[in-house]
Amino acid sequence: MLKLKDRRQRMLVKRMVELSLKDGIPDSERVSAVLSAVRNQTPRSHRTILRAYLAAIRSLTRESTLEVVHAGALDSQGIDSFRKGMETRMNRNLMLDSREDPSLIAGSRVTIGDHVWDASLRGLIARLID
Amino acid sequence: MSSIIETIENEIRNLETAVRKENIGHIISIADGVARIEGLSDVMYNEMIEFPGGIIGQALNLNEGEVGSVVFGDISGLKEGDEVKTTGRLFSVPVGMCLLGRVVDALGNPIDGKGPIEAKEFFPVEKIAPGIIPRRSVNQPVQTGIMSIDSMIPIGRGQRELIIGDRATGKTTIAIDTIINQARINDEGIASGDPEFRPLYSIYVAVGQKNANVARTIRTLEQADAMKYTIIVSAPAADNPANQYIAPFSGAAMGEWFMSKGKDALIVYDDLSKQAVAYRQISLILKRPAGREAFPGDVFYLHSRLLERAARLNEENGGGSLTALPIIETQAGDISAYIPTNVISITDGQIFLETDLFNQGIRPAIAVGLSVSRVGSSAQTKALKKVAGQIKLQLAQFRELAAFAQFGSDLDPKTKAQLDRGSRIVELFKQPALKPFSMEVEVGIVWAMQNNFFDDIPLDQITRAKLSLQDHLQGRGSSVLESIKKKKELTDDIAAALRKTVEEWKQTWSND
Repeated sequence: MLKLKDRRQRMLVKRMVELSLKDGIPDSERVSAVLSAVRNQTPRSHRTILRAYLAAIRSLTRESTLEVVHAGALDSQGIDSFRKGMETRMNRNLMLDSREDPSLIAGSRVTIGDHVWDASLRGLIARLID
Repeated sequence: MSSIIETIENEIRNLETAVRKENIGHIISIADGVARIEGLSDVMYNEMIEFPGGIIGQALNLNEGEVGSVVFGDISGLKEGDEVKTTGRLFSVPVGMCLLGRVVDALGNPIDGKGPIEAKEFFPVEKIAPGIIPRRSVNQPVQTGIMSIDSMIPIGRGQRELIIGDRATGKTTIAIDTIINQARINDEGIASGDPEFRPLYSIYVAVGQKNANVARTIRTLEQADAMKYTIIVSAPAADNPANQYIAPFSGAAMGEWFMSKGKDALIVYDDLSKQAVAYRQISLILKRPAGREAFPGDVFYLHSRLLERAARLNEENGGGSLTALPIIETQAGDISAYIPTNVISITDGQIFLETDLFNQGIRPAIAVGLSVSRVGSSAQTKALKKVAGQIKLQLAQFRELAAFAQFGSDLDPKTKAQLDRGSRIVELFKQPALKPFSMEVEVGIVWAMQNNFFDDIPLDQITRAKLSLQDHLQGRGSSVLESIKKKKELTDDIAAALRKTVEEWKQTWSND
């Protein structure tokens, strides 16, 4: 994460991030509105502030994205109920990013931020090799 | 055929199918043995982290969005974006008797070409030092075999005695002599079959040294047949700074194993100045705030937590001990520099070696006035304590008078006598490298000096006389030496027998 030395800049970025969230998740409409507001006011060190804002939103997006990679096809209802289960477990709203990856061979791999739950055959083989 | 398929199917069914949770991160940058990692939100301070290719690191900086880690081993295969995992474990090294006679790197991997080490136990390199309750006071000697140290600056089991001096003043030689003397004592003790005999195992940690120097040390120990009681941990100058930083801790973990099993061990850190420099390098790359001499603020804690692990445990805790001999290299004799003052304040005394004395041929070049053992005579055998009680004072007075005597030619007889005695003690304490004396021989020689048997011998003959007396004691006076060794004190009977033996020697001695 980009560190800002100036306290006022830090406070501004923090406020920008707060305004960009909807139910704890970065929202594209809100982000556009924030960017537009910042563009109109053009604060000092505009570029630095935007970079720090980008780093914060990137980190938040990663933390609130439930990435489900699966080897075979999964029904959308099942995935949705899984998302709800994970939301309860993590105690926050999550965005779902689901995709198929045959290289897993079988099973699935779930990622939220830097937490990974690996239940794939590829992962199992890798652990056996270790 | 179907049974074969069934067997394989069963094997697959029995495989662990539980979902494995991992905490991962990605390398943002990597250079100079230090990696900055994004992610790893669950990582703990000092936790071992796993890089691709089985490379191990240790988390040292826990920031809001990133983790700073040192990487042990070859970092050339790592690149930005590589996945890193937490392990939930502290960095550990193999420990046990299987390491004796082996040369290992900072991670405990063998580097002597003698095959793998079959260790059954692993100890964490970072461990909280024993507290007050499990300790007991230091009261058993570590015989260095160096007469000046054993008589004036005695070292005890569980003590931390700093060896400090400029480059090339004989610091490593003192440490190696001590290790060799332990091997000799161990051989004799084990051969004697004494059930109360406690061997002292040695660990030599070489930090930031030239590979040639480490090889020479190993060869010296092999020639003295001391390797069988010794472990060498090597993090030479060519190793990355992370290895040089961790090597003393790895050595301490190996030593702690002996202590935890109720055995005695001696560890030499050669040297902690280079470890501090490696730590400074790591800290500066991790962008930690720099303090005096650009060292980080916790460099004192680096050495204090390492040296506090040296201890003597009480009987309830096994009665083991770990004695530490840290070495510090000074610049132009400046013991008031940052690292020397830190380590002096941590340790229980120091042996200060002076370049001037070394160049005058006084070797070991111990500056008596600046050297001290805070454990004192409680770590001496009764026999040595009895004969060497006044010697440090006499030598200190001699040094003072010798400086004063340079200004005037007329000296009173008392001063002359003190100067004469002092010069003889200095000559007597000259000792070549790798020639340690046994305790009983030391007692015999120092007793002879204190009882004026060397007074009529010319100064330039003192060394020869000392060796001659040693031969005589080990030959015709072997029974006296055996009594001193057995009783460890100088009773009236033994003193009388010693006097008789020394008088016999004196009759045979010729000044020519």
